[in-house]
Amino acid sequence: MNSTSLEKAIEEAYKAYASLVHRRCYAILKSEDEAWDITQEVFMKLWKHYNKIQEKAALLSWLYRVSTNLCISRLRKKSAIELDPNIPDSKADSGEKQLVLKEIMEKLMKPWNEKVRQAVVYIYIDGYNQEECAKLMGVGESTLRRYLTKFKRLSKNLDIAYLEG
Amino acid sequence: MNCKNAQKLKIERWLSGEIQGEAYIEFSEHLDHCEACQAYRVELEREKQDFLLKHSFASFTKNNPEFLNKQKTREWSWKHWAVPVAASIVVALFLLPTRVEIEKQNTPDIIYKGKENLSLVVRRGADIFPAGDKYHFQGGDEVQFMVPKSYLKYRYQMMLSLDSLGVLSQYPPDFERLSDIMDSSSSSYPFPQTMILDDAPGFEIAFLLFSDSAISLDTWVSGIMDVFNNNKDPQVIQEKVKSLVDEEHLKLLTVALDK
Repeated sequence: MNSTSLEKAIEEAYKAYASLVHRRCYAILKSEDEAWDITQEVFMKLWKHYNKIQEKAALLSWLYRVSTNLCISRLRKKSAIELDPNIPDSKADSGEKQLVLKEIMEKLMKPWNEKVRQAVVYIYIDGYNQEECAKLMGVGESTLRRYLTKFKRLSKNLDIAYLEG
Repeated sequence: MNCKNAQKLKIERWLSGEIQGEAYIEFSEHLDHCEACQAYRVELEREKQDFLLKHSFASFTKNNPEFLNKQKTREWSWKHWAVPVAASIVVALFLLPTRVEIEKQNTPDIIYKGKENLSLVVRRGADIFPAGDKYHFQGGDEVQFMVPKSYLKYRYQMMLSLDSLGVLSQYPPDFERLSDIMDSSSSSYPFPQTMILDDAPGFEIAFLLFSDSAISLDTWVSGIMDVFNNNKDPQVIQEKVKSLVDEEHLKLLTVALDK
């Protein structure tokens, strides 16, 4: 692909996906500025890797995967998590739910296997169901359940059942 | 049909143009009639409009001048890396003692060929078994590396993995051994972390570190990422990372998995 075609492809992808990428970055980071930073980083990565991506008709999974990892890396660099309850959230989470989500984010900053981390973010932060999450990750639902089981097994003190209920 | 909960992922794909043809028409009709899905669609469309007004593609390119200078960058990277990468691949093919080679096949399976210092134990579903040469792995397999017992003398151990997108994972100590099939006379022991394979394309390199003093995670994360930022070939990356090791105090085993 020549540079003009590539630039055009990235522009089209940006117009189609950037708001979705930004939405999920905001769901994790709870900061407009940081979500915008990461969104730009995601599309710079898309530009650099575009020729290697085979499933161009289904870029969403790739973009979500990369944005999740970049958001977690960003959180890890911060000394403390700042989930400001005053920031309006589209899901209108209750205080209790915010607390559980905060605990999940704290857990995720520890060195998890990347796939486990992806699954936890899709299910508990983004609110996808297991079928959707499995499709996004390109794995079977049984594999997804194993990722979640692993997270739960190593996060025994976390009240995940609250989110599942 | 009215959904109890909006089909979020499908709506996101519909909105970004990933659903086409008859499926697009079919789902568009559903969206016209399903309240839950329609509400989510309206929310996303409003967000998209607001986002593009605030952060147009022009603002993205303005903030990222590297994007506009791409032609120059690409030309530079080809000239800069072609020769050393090719040379390093040849060297790595002959010299790497711990490399596990995987062949691409026409199946989605992952194939491991050869082993020297490392062998593997796998959990697939309820089954746990050792993986021999040329074993076909699948996404979702949990893998535990078996390390020579001579490495037990090192007090500190750590595993990191790097994929082709530059995502570096660090594995927490798990201490669960997948299997007790290894008897005490075995010459190897299970590394105390496991790795779960996925179906994503590209390479995944595991770095197993052994040291007689505490290992600095930050140092290794930045060291590996520095190497990755300048090298995209898995064999070259392994070689470069190995060159960071002070062998008197620290040992490194690497495994490159190609999917």
